[in-house]
Amino acid sequence: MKVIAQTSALQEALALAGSIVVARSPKPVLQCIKLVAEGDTLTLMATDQEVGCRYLLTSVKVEEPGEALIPADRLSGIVREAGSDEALTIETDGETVMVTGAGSRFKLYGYDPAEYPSVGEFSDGADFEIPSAVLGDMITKTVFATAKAHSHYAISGVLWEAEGTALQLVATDGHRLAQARGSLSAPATEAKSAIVPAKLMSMLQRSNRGDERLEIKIAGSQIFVRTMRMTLVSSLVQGNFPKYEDVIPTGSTATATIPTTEFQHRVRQAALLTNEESRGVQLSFAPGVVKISGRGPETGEAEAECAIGYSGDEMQIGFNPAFVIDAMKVIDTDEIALDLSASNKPALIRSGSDFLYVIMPVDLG
Amino acid sequence: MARINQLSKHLVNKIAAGEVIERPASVLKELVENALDAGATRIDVVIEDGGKALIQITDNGSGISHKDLPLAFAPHATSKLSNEDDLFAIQTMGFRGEALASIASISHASLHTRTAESDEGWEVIATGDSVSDPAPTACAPGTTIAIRDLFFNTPARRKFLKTTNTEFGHLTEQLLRIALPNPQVAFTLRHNGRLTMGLPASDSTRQRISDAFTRDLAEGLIPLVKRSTDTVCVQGLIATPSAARGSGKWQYIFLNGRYIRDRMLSHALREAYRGLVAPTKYPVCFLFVEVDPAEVDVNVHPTKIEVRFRESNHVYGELLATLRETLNRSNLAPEVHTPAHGDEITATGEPQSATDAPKEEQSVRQALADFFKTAPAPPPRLQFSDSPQQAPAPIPPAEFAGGLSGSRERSPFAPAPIPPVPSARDLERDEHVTLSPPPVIDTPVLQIHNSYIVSQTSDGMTIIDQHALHERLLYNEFRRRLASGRLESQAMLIPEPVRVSPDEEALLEEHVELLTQLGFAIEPFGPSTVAIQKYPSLLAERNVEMTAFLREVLDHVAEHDTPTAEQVLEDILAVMSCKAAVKAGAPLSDDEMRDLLYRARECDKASACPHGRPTTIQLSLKELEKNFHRT
Ligand SMILES: Nc1ncnc2c1ncn2[C@@H]1O[C@H](COP(=O)(O)OP(=O)(O)O)[C@@H](O)[C@H]1O
Ligand SMILES: [Mg+2]
Repeated sequence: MKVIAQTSALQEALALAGSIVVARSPKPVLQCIKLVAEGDTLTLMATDQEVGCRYLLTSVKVEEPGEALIPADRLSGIVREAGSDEALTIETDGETVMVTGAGSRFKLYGYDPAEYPSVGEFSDGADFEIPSAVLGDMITKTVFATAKAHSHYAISGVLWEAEGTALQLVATDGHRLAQARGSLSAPATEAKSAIVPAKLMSMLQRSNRGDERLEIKIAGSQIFVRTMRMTLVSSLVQGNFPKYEDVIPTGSTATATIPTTEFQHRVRQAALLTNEESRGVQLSFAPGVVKISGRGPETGEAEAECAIGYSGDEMQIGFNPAFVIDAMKVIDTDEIALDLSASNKPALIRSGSDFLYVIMPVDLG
Repeated sequence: MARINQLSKHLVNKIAAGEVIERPASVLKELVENALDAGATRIDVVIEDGGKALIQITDNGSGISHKDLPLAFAPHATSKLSNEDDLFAIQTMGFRGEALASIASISHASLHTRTAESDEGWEVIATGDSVSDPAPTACAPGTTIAIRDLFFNTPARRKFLKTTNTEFGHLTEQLLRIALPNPQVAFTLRHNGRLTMGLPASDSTRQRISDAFTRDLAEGLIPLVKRSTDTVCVQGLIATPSAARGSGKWQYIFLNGRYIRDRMLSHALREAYRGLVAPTKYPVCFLFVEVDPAEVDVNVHPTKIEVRFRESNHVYGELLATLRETLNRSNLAPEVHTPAHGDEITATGEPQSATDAPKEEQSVRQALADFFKTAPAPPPRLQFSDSPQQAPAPIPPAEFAGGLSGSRERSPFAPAPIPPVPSARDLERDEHVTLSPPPVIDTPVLQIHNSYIVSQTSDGMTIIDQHALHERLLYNEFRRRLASGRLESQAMLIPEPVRVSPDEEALLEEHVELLTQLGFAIEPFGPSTVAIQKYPSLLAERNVEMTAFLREVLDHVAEHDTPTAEQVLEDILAVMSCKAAVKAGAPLSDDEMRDLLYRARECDKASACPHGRPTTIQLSLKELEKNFHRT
């Protein structure tokens, strides 16, 4: 294999593909990136055996097609230290790889490319398409609510449900649930659903340029996402996602209209004196105002209030402030609606028409 | 000493007849107890071939008068008991009057004895069922009894004897059990011509322990705080949790000067050390329980090793309270003992200069007092702003009473009149608590391997296991929090199902109140499944995986036969604090480390995590100096 590529293009490709490669692996080949030169493209492949990536570089000159398997961190280092307008020549001699820049030469000991696990390829048509900006926004609004450590493995991922012209993402950690909806640019050929691991979600966020059209395909136990530059593939989370429809409350007895930014600020204030053993803040709703208070047994008490619109009986309810703040941070409307039914029942936060957030109360003891 | 009387038939029947001689050690026990009963202050034991060839006891006690000699080997002849009332107020070791007779019947026994008043000694030979007439002989005042060829005429028994070493092990242990509560009596033990144990007379139990075991063990012992009621007095020395052993052999419990085994008292020990030592470890202790003889029946077992208390709950409660109080008042962080160069152990124990030591202690105390007066404001992350900032109560003087050799005081464990006098006890109380200085807070702290905190103390350094210490702090904190109400709990949007056995489900149901108090709501959820509906926020906060949590708790609880609420609570809190505590491997900032150290100062049982593993190791300057050959 012999290929000449622009450093800047390689840098971008390696930043993304390299982030998949696990730094420490008992299998040295898993710390590598695979290069495939073919026609007039160079493909960089990386995988951690759960998530994989094929990154296409077209602004290259392939002098001799072929493959190479090179430790990712070494190649990244070489590319990082090269001048960004420099052209790098990558040439193989068996498993040895020569990288030559304008004023430097490297001889890298690689591995046999045939030993690298295969990275799934996007074949046939997409199930649906969505603008990367829309998906990116939906990911931001849900991925934070996934479970970090949970026996119920399914909820470590985000549930994707595509039907007709809409995609819906749902995430929960068992205490709160976030649901975001977005419009597809090409409708779903059939209803599809899958649980997508958080790692792929963050890869999507990282590669999001905001102006791309994403083709998505769910096939077997994998999901494929394709842009012009690359294909990401990930195995799906196996298991059953909880029946989330059942826990989204209906039939509230009170509704508050709350200014998003101020509310977040007030909840932060009220939480200042809580401690790790008692985090909860108490929200007292009354027409026109919500009082938010928090206390720590050794630290003291804090109280803040926020003007709101309110219809319903006065009500008190406790929340983990972090759960409230998490949602306020991602909500992009000026106001939210908060539906309540009882102090021991879940509360529902609505923002615009495409974001729902269910939050379970805390019993302050 | 009273004359030897033949027991009445009635009394004979009242005493459970039992075979008391099963091995050489049983002979030793009877004979040495006789010697003690005779008021001996020196007892020399000579053993040959694990006691199979010879067991010989020489004492300097009262001797037996010529007139009484014929009765000594007669069954049920004793000088120690003459009517029924006495049986319930037994003060002496022997009282059945059957030991000499039964030993003689299965061996070749010879007895040499002389009373102090008589110029002449007497010899009696007894074998099987024949007893010779006393013959005059020359001997020192006191008695020598030699038992040869034990079980010569009972081959079945003889066959059951173990190896020489094993039998000698039993003999040594038996002698120890008698020697420990009698430090005022000198003992020697010889085996096949070699001196294997020499215990000089002493007025201190600590010294006796030092002579019998090691000086290190003896020095590390903590005296029990004194409390007592009219009928029970518990005294003794206990080892720190870190010195706990893998077997209960090192738990010596004496009742009115007699070694006993008692499940109830052992249980009290286990309870007291619970959470301080691992469940598989046995704390080392030397407990001397004094009970009014009328309150205890020692006649339930032929070798008197088991007893029956009239008020067993009372004795149990007293022992437990005494142990707990002692442990609570002590700084239990284990000290590191590195191999000493220029071994300091000598037979008599070099007396620590009785004047220097307190002075050194004094200056440490002063330094500490000064430190606390000028203590800097605690770091801002402090959790307990209500912890006292002013100088703490003056640290009581270190304990020297009952110290090695040098002590002039009467040993607290020398046989005391019963019941003990309660006066003056309170004055002494503080002297019986060992306190080593707490870590100084503004000194450098260093985290090593992201797991241990090394810090300077006023007399050396400590090494702290960050996880274990934090676990202990949280455990205590949870306990404290519980006392002031229910814990905050997070409701689950999607309840978490956990598979349980019917027993476990019943257990959860039984302790539902406790669980509610802790912030749990766990409800039945289909066949052999429960669902966690709510759980303490602090676990939610730390992403504790609830299924695993509940399983772990249930597994712990299953180790008790019928767990009490307190045991269930302890198990839950222990697992909770373990899950919530900072993990080994987690990097900590200096402030976080100082915060931990600071909180440890205010914390009960800070020396051990709730599972009983130590949290802290102390290394004193002395120890360091020794290792660097600076002394
Ligand atoms: N070493 C001894 N010194 C003085 N008297 C002894 C000694 N050993 C035995 N005796 C006398 O012999 C008696 C019988 O001893 P023993 O059979 O052991 O019965 P007990 O000790 O139960 O009275 C004792 O009561 C005591 O008077
Ligand atoms: Mg006797």
